[in-house]
Amino acid sequence: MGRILHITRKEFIQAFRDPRMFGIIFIAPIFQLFLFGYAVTQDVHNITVAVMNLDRSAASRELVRSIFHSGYFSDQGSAESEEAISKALVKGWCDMVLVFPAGFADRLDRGETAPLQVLLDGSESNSASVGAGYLGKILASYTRSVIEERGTRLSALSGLARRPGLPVNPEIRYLYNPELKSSFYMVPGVLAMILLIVTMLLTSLAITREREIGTMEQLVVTPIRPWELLAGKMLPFVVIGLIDMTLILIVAVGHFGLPMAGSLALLYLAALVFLFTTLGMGLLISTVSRTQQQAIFVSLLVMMPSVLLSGLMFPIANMPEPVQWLTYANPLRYFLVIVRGVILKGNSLRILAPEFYLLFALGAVVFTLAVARFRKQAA
Amino acid sequence: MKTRVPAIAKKELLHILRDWRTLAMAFVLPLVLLLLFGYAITFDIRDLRLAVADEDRTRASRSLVERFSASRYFRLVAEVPSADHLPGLLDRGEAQIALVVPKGYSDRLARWEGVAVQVLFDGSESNTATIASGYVDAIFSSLNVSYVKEILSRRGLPAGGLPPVDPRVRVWFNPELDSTSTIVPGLVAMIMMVIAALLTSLTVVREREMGSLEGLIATPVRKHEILLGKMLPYLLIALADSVLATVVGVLVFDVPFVGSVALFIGTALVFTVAGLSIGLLASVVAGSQLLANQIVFLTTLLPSMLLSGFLFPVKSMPPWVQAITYAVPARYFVSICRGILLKGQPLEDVTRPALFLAAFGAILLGLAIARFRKKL
Repeated sequence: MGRILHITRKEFIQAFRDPRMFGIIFIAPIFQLFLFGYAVTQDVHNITVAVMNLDRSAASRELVRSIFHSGYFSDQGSAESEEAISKALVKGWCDMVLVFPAGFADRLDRGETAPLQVLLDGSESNSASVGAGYLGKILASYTRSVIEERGTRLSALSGLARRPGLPVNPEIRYLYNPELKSSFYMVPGVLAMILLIVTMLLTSLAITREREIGTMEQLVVTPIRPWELLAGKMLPFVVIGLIDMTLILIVAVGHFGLPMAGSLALLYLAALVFLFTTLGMGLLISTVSRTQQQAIFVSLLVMMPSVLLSGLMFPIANMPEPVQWLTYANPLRYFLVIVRGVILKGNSLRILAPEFYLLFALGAVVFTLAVARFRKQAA
Repeated sequence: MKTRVPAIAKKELLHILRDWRTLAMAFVLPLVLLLLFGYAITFDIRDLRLAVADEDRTRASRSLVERFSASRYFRLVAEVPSADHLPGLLDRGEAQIALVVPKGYSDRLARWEGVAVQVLFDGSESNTATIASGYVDAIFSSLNVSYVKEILSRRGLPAGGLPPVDPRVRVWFNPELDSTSTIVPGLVAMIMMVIAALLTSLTVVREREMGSLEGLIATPVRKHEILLGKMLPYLLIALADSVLATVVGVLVFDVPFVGSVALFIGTALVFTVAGLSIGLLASVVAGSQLLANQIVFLTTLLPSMLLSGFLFPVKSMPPWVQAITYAVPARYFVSICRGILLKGQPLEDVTRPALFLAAFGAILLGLAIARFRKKL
């Protein structure tokens, strides 16, 4: 036990010898938290719109006004010709062009459906579809006002309810995140990601470094047993990881207003189970890398798919089926379900038991494999 | 100068070639990223898990449910007798969205009295919920139109002109609204930035850590010659990566390439120099490979992914974050890439961002040379 603590102490001294490492280990996670909490949102605002109005009627101007009044769109002025439209879209001056054809108002007056041409810049596909969705909402509320007007007019002659509105009214409620803040989705994800990065990358580098510099040989000839060496090397990063997690939780609840609906103890228990896999991966990476540069690349190679295929930024349900199967082998996937479940939904261990089992099983496999490989190399 | 820079470059190239694992990584990493983003990452939302509590059980209520289950955006996973069962399904994550059709739905509908249908979303996946609520609105809107038409025609009243406005949407540059076409050009920018900065970030600091910098210091080679020489081979690798990524994007993922190839390579060159300079600067100021790597990770990988507009539109970000994005080189190159590949933008449209990138690269390279000490 004493030997483990010696190694741990040495590792701490080494990690913080460069004072800038302190910033990297403790400030950087908070920086990332703010970045993800604020920057990562698919909710598109200020879609820029140019209008080509060939109708010049009161009705078309009224519709244009209600579109800009909605707050989703910003007015980029009017386009006078086909060339102007094409230029505006190619140069990216606007994301959307609305063309009101001549006779738009006449058709409305005659009680016919009037076509409205919508041109979208598809080079940002997501903004384009969100923009089309917002336009749909505005047109739907226009439809609603027409239905209400018609209903009121007809109710007098036909014995309908006195002031019929829309036949069906959806009442939408968002559970767990009533204001649909994207930070509620991202912040638990960042917590999981930081734990992964700090523990896996730093562990792999700390061990590879000894080999690269040649000090591993010195360690091997000391009476330290391989498992003691490993425990001593990993302990500092477990501590650092848990401190980072605590920092993030404080900012998450204090600044971003996350609810922390479930049990804090359950969350830390999950983190310990998760660390089992990340430390194992870090060790495994160090056994296949000769230099720190290689270890960094291999870590990146492991980290990118882990993050992207975990549901952290992109929901797993939207991925193609074969890729969805792959995600079952990703420990981060299970940890994320637990973190979000505990923080946002207040899930209990009973609900999260399958994730806990799978996370533990994956961890046991990876860790055993890594230790076996390391012992073979150390021997 | 004329012979020293190539000499350093040759030495660095030998280093790279000897360490074939690192070289392989420089090409494997981009390919893995391309496959991941090309196949797995999509913004298109479909098959949301839907649970329904149909408390009315009439033909009208069933037709409402069918409108949802027939749409490609929703997949019916559970039907329960009453609304009480729904919160549990959402808690356990078995459903992401739940509908409650109340008793008396059909009767109230027939009298055009207005009936409320509750829609519950799992808001913990906020982006999904935002986009899906648009689909829900669209379904209810078209449902209302068809009900009104039906009610009116049953009473022999004219329905005409519903909906009043019919939007005919045409999408330019990416007619199928395929998110891969948006992602791949942005990905090219991210790959180049990460590879360029990561590879160079270790060059100087490694020599310092291993002690071989001492040998270099003893020679008459000047500071800028060392750094320029070290940069050259990586310039080639990063450019090769950009070509590789673009070719795979066009051939495998059917991303259009409308604009000029020469313009693309020219701007890529400018962008690569900016990326390499970030790496060199990190390598010069950091005391260890670990620190250099972490600096590069924080200043290139994350910003290129999150603040460049590659995955998340810049204009949706709060103003203080938007201000930061102006200092992220990838932001400019993502828009150049999309402009050239998808829109066929000519030189005049990319001049401004390209000039900015050039200035950015020059300043960082100058800083790296200035901060580089030919001392131990």
